[in-house]
Amino acid sequence: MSRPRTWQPDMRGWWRRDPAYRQYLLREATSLAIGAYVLVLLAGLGCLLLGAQAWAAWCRWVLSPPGLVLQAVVFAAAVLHAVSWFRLMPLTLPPLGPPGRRVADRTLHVGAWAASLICSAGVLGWLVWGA
Amino acid sequence: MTAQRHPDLRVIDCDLVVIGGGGAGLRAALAATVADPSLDIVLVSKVVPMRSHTVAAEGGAAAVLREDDSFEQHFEDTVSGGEWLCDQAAVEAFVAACPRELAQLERWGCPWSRRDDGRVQTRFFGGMRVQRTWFAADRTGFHMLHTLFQTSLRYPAIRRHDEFFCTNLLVDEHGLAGVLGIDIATGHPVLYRARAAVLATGGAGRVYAHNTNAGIVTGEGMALAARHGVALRDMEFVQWHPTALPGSGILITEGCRGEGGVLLNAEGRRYLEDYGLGPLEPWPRPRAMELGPRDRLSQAFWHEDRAGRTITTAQGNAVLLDLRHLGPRRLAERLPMISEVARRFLGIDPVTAPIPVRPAVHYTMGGVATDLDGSTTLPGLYAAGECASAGIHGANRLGSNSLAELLVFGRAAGEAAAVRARSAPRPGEALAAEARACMAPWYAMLEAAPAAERPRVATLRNAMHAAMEDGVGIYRDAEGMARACEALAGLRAAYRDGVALDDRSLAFNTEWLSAIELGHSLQLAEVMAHAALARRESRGAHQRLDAWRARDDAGFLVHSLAWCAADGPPRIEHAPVKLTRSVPRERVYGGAGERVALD
Amino acid sequence: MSERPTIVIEVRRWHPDAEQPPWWQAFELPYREDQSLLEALQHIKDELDGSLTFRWSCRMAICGSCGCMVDGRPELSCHLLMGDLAPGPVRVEPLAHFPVIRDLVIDQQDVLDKLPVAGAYLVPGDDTSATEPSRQTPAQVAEYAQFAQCINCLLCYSACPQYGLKPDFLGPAALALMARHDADSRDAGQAERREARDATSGVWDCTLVGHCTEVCPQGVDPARAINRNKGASARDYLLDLLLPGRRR
Repeated sequence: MSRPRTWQPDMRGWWRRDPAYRQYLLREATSLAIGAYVLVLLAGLGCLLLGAQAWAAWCRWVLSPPGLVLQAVVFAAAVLHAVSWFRLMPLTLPPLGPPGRRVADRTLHVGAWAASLICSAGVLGWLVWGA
Repeated sequence: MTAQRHPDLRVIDCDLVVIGGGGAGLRAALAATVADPSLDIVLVSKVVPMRSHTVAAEGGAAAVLREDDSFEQHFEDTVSGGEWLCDQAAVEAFVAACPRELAQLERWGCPWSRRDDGRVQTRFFGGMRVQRTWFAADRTGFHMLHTLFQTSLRYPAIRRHDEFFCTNLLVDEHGLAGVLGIDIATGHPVLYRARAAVLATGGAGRVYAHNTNAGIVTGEGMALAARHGVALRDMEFVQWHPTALPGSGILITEGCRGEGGVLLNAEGRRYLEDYGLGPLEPWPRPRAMELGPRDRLSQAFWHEDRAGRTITTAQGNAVLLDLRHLGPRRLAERLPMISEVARRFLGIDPVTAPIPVRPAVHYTMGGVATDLDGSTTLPGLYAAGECASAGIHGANRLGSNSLAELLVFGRAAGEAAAVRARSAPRPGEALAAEARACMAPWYAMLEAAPAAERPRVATLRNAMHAAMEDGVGIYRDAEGMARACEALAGLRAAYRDGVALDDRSLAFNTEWLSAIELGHSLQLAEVMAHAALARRESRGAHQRLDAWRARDDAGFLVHSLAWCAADGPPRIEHAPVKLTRSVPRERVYGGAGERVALD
Repeated sequence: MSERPTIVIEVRRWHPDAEQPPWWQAFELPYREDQSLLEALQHIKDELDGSLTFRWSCRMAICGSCGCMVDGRPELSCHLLMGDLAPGPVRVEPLAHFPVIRDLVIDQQDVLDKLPVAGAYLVPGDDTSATEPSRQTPAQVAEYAQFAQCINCLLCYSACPQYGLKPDFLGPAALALMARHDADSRDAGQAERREARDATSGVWDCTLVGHCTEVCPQGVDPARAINRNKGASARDYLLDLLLPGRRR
């Protein structure tokens, strides 16, 4: 059948329409912060290869106010990412467990946090006492 | 915004047109394409098929499945439930075909509720000896309709024209020749030239104010057929569903009672035992108390209300449907939609509180008279589903027979129409000219200037509702029915003088379409009132309070046949009911019986 | 009779004959707390302006006709009570991301056309001539039951910015119905659906905004359906790579 005349929708400024969209964009934007931190770490690795002087300069920058601010931002982004990702993670998994007795979303969510906290505690412990 | 005069008619040739995309229409289209894959089939519907009213059916569909059941019992329940006004040959064919049809739907993907071993689960409905109702929780119609719709996607030979509003059937010397209507989005006229058409347009419950029906259930399919001299049969038999929400009329499924729900009056008493459905114990048992038929339950409400034993709600009087004893798990598993409806629309959680309910018009038991293959007296025109009267419901339809019916007779009509579509000669070229002439009055409605004294669509519709609720209700008397006949004649005259339309544009003009629907609804309402007045007895859903309070098998074991006139009232005749093996006797529910387990 | 309170409903309107972009029109009308927004719109059409155009049918959130944006969120108008929307004003618009035919009526053809592309139907596996129902345990039903509740109301499409930005995207409902049939023990159509699933316009256009699941009036959870299928799509891609000849 012939199509009717229509008014075409417009997507300009779509992220302003719903808080859910802004949260989504914020979640996606955390990857930029994580990416930036990857670059910082890569730079550190490069400095290590270049020698003691370069390494010391990198360490100084990391502990300088701009370096600390960056790391605080990255840390906040990582926490935000973890919060939002762990909430969505059950949606991305295939059904776990036998039919009729599938593992509940809540279990997966709590499990993900538990694993994350255990790993973080392990790394922290290794840094404080192990190294 | 005014209409351009007479937009161009678009003419499309095809083999078969199915009018209506609900359960019966989809089943007919599927049957036709499976029977003859070379057929060019067009499925037209005034809404996208999954919006059709089949979607709102809740409780289930009947078919013999359990080992303790039999065709004989399904037959007996149906014929006695219809108070012997059923055509028994039709019922025999129907009950025998139900299991195959429901199994076919299972094979197409319908998610029937299951037993632990994977077999299909069944539940009780009113008036059944055995648990015979297949269900998919309490969204059976929804799942059936979507299964049929999704299956239709596998058959490209079924071309859909969604949102096509059918205005006329065209007929030539060979019989049906075309289906004419309006492409809703553009408002342009379209003619489908075809040798066969299946009417599957649903019932006419919207002629009443308080009903469980979707807004689209306005009955024009019946009126379109009637205009060509096809008789409307048993139109006085209108089913009130005993449990609908006060005000909105939203349906609360009979499945609630099939799962063990009980009805209480304002005094907390299970009042049905006072209306020939008791004694209360042993309970639950089939065909007793809350598992009685719909006509008896709705009539019992009427008496309770008269006696002042109903509760008062903001939307009218009600009794209470108590499901609390079923427990949260069973409610969530078997009646999730009802639970959600109660929470959302009433703020009531059926786990902790009973639901106020009252009867509402639910189903048009009459319709276009058809044979077992859906054929009507107009060659090439077939009908199936609620718009048709295949003769299986009699004076009172048993719950869950209608979902099975639309499959059984939808298929039969589709197959018969497929044969006809192949064999009949092609419609001639002259049809297009006739179509243009037929469209003119519809477009003239848009051009007429809005006279101040003309009534709005809603004004006439409300007056029709009032006339029907007043004169052709659960209980009727000659005076009230005559009053309704007179009021409806007046409304039809007012309608012919013209309704005031705010909207006179072409694109998606739903005010215009509802005005066209209203004309058909008024005609059907008038048929119902006259057919009711002419039935001087009480049977099933037709109960009189005047001199004809009793059933009269000697005089009225007959179908009513209504022949419509363009302007005046219909002519009502009566024709014998075809009996085969069940001799009419007293219709008994309740009484002694064994307690049964509801699993 | 006591005077009923009134509320203002602002409706975004458009007509193809009007040579102008959509406009807003406000209606003030009496309402009841237990009245649905749909009933309020019907009151406008019946009493105030017969040209106001919207779709509706069942009134009980099962036919999926009456979707619209209410105060910026996709909703079924039959499913909202005026008591929850008072004191207003209530802003009603056509569903986002769809071409508008008129007022609140959107053109849904695109999604209807996508349903067969997504293979949104069961492909019977075994003997199709069988007259007995096949067996399926409650646990097997539970595998797909949630995804089978989709009423095609299109709210999820209005919630999905990816669909708005990339109209080729099959979108939440079509992909949920794909997953529904893939997960049905009676189905033999997974291979048929693969191409549509693995295409960019299939599961991979989904960026897990997740709003589709939040607005779904039936709790279908299309986001889960789609993202589960991303895993299946990736797995099949990898297996095809490792085992050439796996795919016929």
